[in-house]
Amino acid sequence: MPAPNTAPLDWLIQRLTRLIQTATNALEAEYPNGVEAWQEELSRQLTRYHVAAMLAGADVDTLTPAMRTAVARDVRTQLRFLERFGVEIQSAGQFQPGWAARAAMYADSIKSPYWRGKVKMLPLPAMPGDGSTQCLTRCKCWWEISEVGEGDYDCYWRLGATELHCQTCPQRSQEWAPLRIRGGVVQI
Amino acid sequence: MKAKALIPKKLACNPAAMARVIQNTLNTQALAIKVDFGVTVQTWESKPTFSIRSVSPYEREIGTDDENYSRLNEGTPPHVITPRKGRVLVFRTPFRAKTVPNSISSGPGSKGANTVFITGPVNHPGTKPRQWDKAIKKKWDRLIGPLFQRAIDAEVN
Repeated sequence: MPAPNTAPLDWLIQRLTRLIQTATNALEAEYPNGVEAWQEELSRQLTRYHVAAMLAGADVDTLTPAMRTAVARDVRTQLRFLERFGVEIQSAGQFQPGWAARAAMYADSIKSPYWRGKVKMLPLPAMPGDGSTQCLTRCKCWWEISEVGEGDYDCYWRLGATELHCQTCPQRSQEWAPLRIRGGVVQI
Repeated sequence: MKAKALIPKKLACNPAAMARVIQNTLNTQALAIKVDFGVTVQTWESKPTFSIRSVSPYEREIGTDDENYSRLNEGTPPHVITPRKGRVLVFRTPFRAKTVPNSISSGPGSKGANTVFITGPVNHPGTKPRQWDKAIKKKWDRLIGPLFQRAIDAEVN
């Protein structure tokens, strides 16, 4: 099966990255002021784009209650990291060159809700870009799901279109080929 | 392991669904752990195999019977290596190990281009414990919360 079209996800990540960059550039110009406004702006955009990513992945117009809970939880996790980052920025004496790149990485966090929507909220052990691989949020892998019966799925971890892979992803593509769900239960 | 999860009321009152949630949480964690063990030996010539065992409905055991792996995982103290009668010890230098302590990874390593022959005993400095089991446990203990929540979400979606 060819790699799925992730154009919607790529587009969302691109837009969110630009928004984050704009906010971080403004912070750099105002620093040491402006940290709170920067945090608020990033919180707002992360929430919007997490919802958008889940909707895009699931290809639906409205979120189910379970999807809403999943998005809320993911956003809470990101906001906890953002709060710590904000404290670090506030307490430094000078705007650091690496902060812009670090802030931009938050855009990749919307991969997780996208893939959760894409795999219809199946209880899979990992989502591409959820940080559980050596490649962290840079993961370009994807799940191929075949429904083989009611509540029965064969799930394949497929390697993304990139020349270099971390070690975790090829191991997953070998071992989860397929990962079986039968009667709603993940098989070991 | 502590985990914080949001459990909908209707799920909490459904024992069969909750049993599936627990099974899925344990099984997905076990599968992910098995992958990480596989990563630690990915570049080895003789790879140990790992397996998952359901010890009880609420326990999973992931492990290997490979003695070499256990020795490296635990580490070895300094020891003397003596060639067997009539034989020599052969080493290649400079040597670089394929694995490092506390890292869920394996590298190409290097046996070196120089071959050294030794007829007498040598003092091996011992091997630092890789502690892969601890590193992998630490990682997946931290990630148990999202696995548990995903299992819950799958039931109510």
